[in-house]
Amino acid sequence: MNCKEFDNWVYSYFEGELEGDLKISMDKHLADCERCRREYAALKSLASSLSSIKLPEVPPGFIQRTLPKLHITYNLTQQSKPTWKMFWLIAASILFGGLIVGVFYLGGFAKLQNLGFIDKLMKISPGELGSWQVYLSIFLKVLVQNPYYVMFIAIFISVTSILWIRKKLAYN
Amino acid sequence: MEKLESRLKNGKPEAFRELLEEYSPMVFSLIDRMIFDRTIREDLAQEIFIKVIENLQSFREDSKLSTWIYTITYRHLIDHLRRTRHDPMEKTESLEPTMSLSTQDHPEPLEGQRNAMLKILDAIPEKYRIVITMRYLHERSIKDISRITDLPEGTVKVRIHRGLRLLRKKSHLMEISNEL
Repeated sequence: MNCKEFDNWVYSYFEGELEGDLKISMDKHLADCERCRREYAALKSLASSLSSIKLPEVPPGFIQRTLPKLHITYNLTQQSKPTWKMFWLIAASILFGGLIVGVFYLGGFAKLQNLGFIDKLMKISPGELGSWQVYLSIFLKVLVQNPYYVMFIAIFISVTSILWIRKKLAYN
Repeated sequence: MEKLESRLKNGKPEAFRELLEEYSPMVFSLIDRMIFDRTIREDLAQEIFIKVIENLQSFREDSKLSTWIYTITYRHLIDHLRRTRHDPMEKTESLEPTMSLSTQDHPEPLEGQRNAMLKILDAIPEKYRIVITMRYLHERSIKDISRITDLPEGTVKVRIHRGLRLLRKKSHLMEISNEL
């Protein structure tokens, strides 16, 4: 190895990145060449002087002056900032509302009616049923007769879910 | 104890103070080596910490908070230099080989040596000064520097090596000029 080659690799050598034959050649050249030894020692000494430089003092009062600004920034940004997590939760709420509308309003409910289950449930007199089934049959009757109610209920559920999720994300 | 990044995300008041106490020296140190206008250094440091808070949600918990803050600091300063059309080479010419860097102004020899070293460091071109500051003053790994600066690791190493050579040349010239 000559001095030029040594110089090309000296920084990687200094960082301890060389292995095998290349490292052995570098070691050998360093042992044999006075000039390169001097250069290498200078590089090490310079790096060591730089590493010993302490970080500067922070201007007095900087923390006190900056703290209120950080609190304001946090309140302005973090509590109202949409996140991906929130985006997916909102998307899920809307999808849920859409599914309800799809099932009950856009024909899905008619298919359920064709199965006869709902008709049967609604034709049964209240005396034959337990209390929860009475309420369910009344609820379904109202839905069948007023499909727009389904939409309102779906929108209400979606909006309530979004508001609840937002609140949870902002303060947790 | 809960990690600082989690407490920051949850808006715990003591976490903001801890953030400033822990990272201000590092932020100011990089500002000192990149921005020579002393009057705007504190404003820049405040802008950097505000940016950290604004972007808290984008911080991934599997990465290191110090590297993330360091990257924000570096990019903010680079943006500032571009915006203000700062000439990074301007300082290179400001240190003539004949300029005295004797320690007369500094009564403590160690402090004088430190200041002399910083003066020489500030006199080399920005592209070398930044990577040398990151590697030796802040003890960042080559891999970290590559990630922070968006430069290939090979380029980072070449710049550090060339920067060290320049520093050696400059400090050698200083020694000669001081002897004269």
